[in-house]
Amino acid sequence: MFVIRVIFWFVFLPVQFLLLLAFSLCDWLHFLRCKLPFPTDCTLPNEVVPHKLCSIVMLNWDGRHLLEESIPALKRAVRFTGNDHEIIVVDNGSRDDSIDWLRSNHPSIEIVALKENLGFGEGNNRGVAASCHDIVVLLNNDMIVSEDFLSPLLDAFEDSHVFAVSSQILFPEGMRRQETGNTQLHFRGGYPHFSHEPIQSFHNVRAYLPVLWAGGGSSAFHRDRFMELGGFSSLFSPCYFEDTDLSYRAWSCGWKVLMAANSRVLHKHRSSSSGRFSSSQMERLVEQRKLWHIWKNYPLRTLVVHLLLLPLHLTRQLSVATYGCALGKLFLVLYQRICAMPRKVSERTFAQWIRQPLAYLNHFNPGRTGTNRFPLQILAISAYLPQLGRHGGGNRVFYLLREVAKKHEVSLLSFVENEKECDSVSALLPYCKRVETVKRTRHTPVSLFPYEPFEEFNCPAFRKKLEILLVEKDFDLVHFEWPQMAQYADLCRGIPMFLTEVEVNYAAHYTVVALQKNPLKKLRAIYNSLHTLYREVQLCRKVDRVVCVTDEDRNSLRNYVEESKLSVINTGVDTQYFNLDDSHVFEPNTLVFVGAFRHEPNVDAMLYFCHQLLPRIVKERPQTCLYIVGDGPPESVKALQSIPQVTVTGYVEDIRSFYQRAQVVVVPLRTGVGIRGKILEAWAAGKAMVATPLACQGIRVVPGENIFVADGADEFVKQTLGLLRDPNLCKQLGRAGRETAVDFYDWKPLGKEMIDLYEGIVQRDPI
Amino acid sequence: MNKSHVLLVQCCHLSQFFYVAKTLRERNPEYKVDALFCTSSQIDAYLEDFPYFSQVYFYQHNSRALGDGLDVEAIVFPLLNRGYWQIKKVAFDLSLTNLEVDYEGAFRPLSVRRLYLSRVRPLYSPTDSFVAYHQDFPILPLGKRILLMESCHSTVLRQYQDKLDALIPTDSEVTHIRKGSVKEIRRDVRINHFESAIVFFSGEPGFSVMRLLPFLLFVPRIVVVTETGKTFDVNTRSLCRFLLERIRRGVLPPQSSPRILVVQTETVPHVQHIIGQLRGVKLFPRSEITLFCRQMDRSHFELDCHVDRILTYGGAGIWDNFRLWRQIRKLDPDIVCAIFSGRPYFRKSKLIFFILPTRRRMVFNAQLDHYNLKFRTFSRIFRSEPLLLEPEPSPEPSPEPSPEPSDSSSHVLMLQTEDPVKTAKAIKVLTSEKVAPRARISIFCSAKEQGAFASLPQVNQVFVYDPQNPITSLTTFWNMARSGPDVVAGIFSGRPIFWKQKVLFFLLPARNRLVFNNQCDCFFLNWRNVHLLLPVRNVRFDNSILFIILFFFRRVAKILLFFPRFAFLLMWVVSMNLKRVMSTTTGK
Repeated sequence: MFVIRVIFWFVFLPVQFLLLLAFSLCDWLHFLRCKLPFPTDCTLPNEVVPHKLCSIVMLNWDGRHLLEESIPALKRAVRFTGNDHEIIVVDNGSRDDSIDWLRSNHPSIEIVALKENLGFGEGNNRGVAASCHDIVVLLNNDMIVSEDFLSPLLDAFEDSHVFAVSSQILFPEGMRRQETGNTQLHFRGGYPHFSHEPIQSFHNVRAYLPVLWAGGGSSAFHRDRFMELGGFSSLFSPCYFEDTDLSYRAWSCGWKVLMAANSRVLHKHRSSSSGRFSSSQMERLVEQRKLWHIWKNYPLRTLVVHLLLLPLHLTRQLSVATYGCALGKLFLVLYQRICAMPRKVSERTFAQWIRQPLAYLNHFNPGRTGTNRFPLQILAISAYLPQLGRHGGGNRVFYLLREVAKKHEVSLLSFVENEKECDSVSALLPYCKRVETVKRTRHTPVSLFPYEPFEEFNCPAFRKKLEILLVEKDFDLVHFEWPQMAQYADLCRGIPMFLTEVEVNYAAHYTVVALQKNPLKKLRAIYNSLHTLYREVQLCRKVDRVVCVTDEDRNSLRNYVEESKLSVINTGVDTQYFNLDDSHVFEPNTLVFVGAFRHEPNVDAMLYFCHQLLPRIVKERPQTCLYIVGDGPPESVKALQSIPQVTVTGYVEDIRSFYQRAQVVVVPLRTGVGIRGKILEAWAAGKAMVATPLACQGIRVVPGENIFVADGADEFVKQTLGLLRDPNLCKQLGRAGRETAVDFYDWKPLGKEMIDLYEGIVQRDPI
Repeated sequence: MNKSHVLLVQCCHLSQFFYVAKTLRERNPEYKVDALFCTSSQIDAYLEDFPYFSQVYFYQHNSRALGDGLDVEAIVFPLLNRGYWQIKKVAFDLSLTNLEVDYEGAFRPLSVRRLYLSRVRPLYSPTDSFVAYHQDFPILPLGKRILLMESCHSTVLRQYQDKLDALIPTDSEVTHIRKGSVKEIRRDVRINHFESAIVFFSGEPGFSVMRLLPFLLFVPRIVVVTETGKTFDVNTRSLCRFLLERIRRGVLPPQSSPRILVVQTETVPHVQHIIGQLRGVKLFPRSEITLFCRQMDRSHFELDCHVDRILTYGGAGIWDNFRLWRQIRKLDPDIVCAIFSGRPYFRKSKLIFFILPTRRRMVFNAQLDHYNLKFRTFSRIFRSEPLLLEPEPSPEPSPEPSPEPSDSSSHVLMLQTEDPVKTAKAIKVLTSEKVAPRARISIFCSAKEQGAFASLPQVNQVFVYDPQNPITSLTTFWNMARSGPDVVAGIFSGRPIFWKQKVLFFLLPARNRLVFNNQCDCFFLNWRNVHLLLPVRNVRFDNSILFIILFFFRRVAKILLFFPRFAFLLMWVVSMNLKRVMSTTTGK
């Protein structure tokens, strides 16, 4: 099959080049024609038309049995509006007694009787010409309208740019829903695929969303614009693609084609055309008209791809015969291409609006949040599910959400690593109005360059979900937790955006450089740090406010991001939760390390401590034991269990039991930046602690008073042994640490700071 | 119009010309009408039936030569056709009063512009009465020696027998060639010089040689009969037009009762289902169905009222098979049908489906939708989709071998590509009820791990290699290959270890290759899931080819772009810091 396609491609290539030349010539002629002082431009002003009354045009061909069902429903719908809408039935040369039946049973209906069948397009054109109101609703005779279908269609014309509004099309139960009204175009491999896409949840929330075409059988049209565009083109006679072509031209002129999901019609039969053509003939008709539509309307840029790749489709959707027949009307198509109206909106632009309703809303209604709305509608977008006890970042987001949710309405969209994590969503539901999760399974590369630290979070499913959320609801503020999530900032245009730098990634990468001894690895680490910096700065520039967790983090970003954008809100700790009973007794000679092992600095810290420091401590105090507590230990950490003094627990439900038995908490971190939640937790639990200076960054440490800070291996061992030997010193240090945690790191004031920041940026007066 | 003696020029088809002449005669009985024909052949026969003309002329290239013998007051052109330009031009140059006439027989003065316009398009559309006239317009009877090619299903010929009777004179000598008797034509050609031929273009596939034959024999007159009963005399233009129309409008489905051979390539309920479909109103309700099935399923199909005849295979011996083959050949089926669901069973039957001579092969897919097997649809038979009907448990085991190593004779060779713990876990999964509980398992491991694997109860044989001694390793490899494993299994966790064994995984001859991932879940390797072997986590791509290309592209980019990108990043950082310093010093 592939070989045939290649052969076809070579055979038809000269023809395609000739066609391309012809289309280029036409575009030049069209350009000249637009420059010449002929009245070619759309002359209609964009004014709101009176939209209380309309003319309803129904096309009929040998469909008396259909009219018997559709006309009473239509009359009910007209009565429901309370207005006197005009109903016109265009009889397209029926051979049955449709006209007699209408005259005898519905004398109020105006009849336009045509002598012969002029086809769908021309029949409707005659009906529109005979109508007297500014809005014309075109209906097929097999459409059974719902009682309230008319008002949503007419109300759409309050917008002065609207050309047509389509109804949502339903099918009887048990029938496959072939049409919905949500019409879309997908251009794959240079060949168009027109389709009716399913109705999404946001279609029912938003009254009007853009579609590619309003079907000629169930849509309302702006009459003057319809006439200005010349109505349905005779090129497509007898049927199919007239409406697609007309709507496409309207979009090009800058007029909108929308779908009102609240207006519903039931497409009960599909009888007129299927009775006249066989399925293969219909298929051929559609494919021909598809080609004419593209050749007539699409810009040269699209046509180049289309024409060059078209021969490859000759063995798929398109047969050579259909293609040959389509060429038969080439001159007419070229003529119509020359005579087309000048483009005001490019095809690429309106195609994007149609494909992505969010882009449409952002363009036409960028600041669509309501005025003086309170509480604020906040959307938090998180890279990891905010949950307690897994990792410091998750804890931070959870507690801040809880605090903010006391005053504002928070919705959450988060990645989850596996199905099991979804069980933790229930803990968030009391605080979040809505929680949506997306499993992080697949990503698409975001750049060609070799090191892309955030690309694993570039997930099409997540993007889609976020789009749906933003279309469904108007948010006052979007908060990205973790910098990698800011790659979705392009979707949130017009909404104030926050970004939390839980850890300044480039700085964290830079801390690795000092540890590398191999020059090549050192070079690689520098490269990674620079690359991360570049990407991180790009992301920070996309948002309105960057929240850092320590002053050091803010300083490291100051050279690259506007200083006014940077704020600091510390991470806190739940001092109530970690308030251990004073009477608790620790196990002597027990060391504890707590950390989530998906965070690489924790892995490095444990490998370093167990291989280099612990043997020296054990040598002095053989009864010493170490508990390594934390979620997701890798194989290298699990392997540490082979050391007799070490116990690797993995994830534990209640971490307090390990704090309780710890005499000393060790934090031997050598890499990474940001605030260390484990230090705050140990303080809140009233534990003595030995930490490296790097681990204490950004925390109110007073060495020797609330913590022992040890720089270097010797000092770390010495300090640890000192504490192990002196239980009273441990208690003293623990008490001081708890006081620090209670005074400076409680979540309530931190939550208040976050709320103030939110309210400040959206410039609303808090009530 | 005072012209009472006119010359009607045949610048249109004969049916149009005689229709116009008839209309002229009816409207103006007092007129004297002469005719100028563009060709003299066959005209005499028509003139006997349609005696409208007082004088008849034939076209000559020189208008002066033509004009010498003429005594008319006006020349009348029925400009109903785009062609016939020469005769139009010659008649126009006679410099008499020129008139044009429509289907109704009304005259109008003919201008030069109108004459030239008639070259671009017909000036009048046919009326309903002309269409009816044209339908009944007779084709001239054929000559004495006629070649009748039955290049269609026999029922089509019967359907249009009356048309043939009208075409073939009673005293003519007809050589009737059917599909089976094409060879006899050699003898007939030597004896007979055919004057005319009738050939059927019924739109059915096949019969191409028979259709071509009259043209190859250069029979002077060939009449084509179509599937709608329409007949026309063949010339280059009419044949091209007919074939183009075929391409444009397609062919009406034949309304015949074909002989269908259904080849069993799936289980009984599926075959019964498609036989029901074939006999349905939408396909071939009047067909004659012969079923070619397994001996063991015969009893099921004998109860099926739609099956007219059953042929079974499964007999032993060459003679039985030869006799069966002759029986099938004798059937000469119009259509051969089979189900191609993508399942690897009934291979021999499928082969028979392809080698049987027939005009049309119809394939039913897994969803039991049907399509004709053509070059462009050929790739569809390889599609593997879930079957529409659940396969019923067969009372007897299928004679076709199953690709999965589920039967006790399957030999699975496990290569150690991970640590012993994980490999043992994979072996446990392999021997579990879901995968291959009765399989014979061999393992290929290093000499130092031999003890660990030999003690496993599931392992039947251990092949060892010694990393220090490549010669013995080669011997082991040879022994392994000779042991003839049905399945080669290995763990691909993404870790860059045991790479030689991983290469061996692909080199060893086996029918299937079973891959275990890091979690010891297993899958059979095929081209669709080959990308899962790559050491990338959390990646699921729909298109494996695209993913592999992208993967290697990025790997190459990583190497090539490292230093240029590094240089760029350094410059960028320096420029950012300089900018910052400058803005601080200038106080902005």
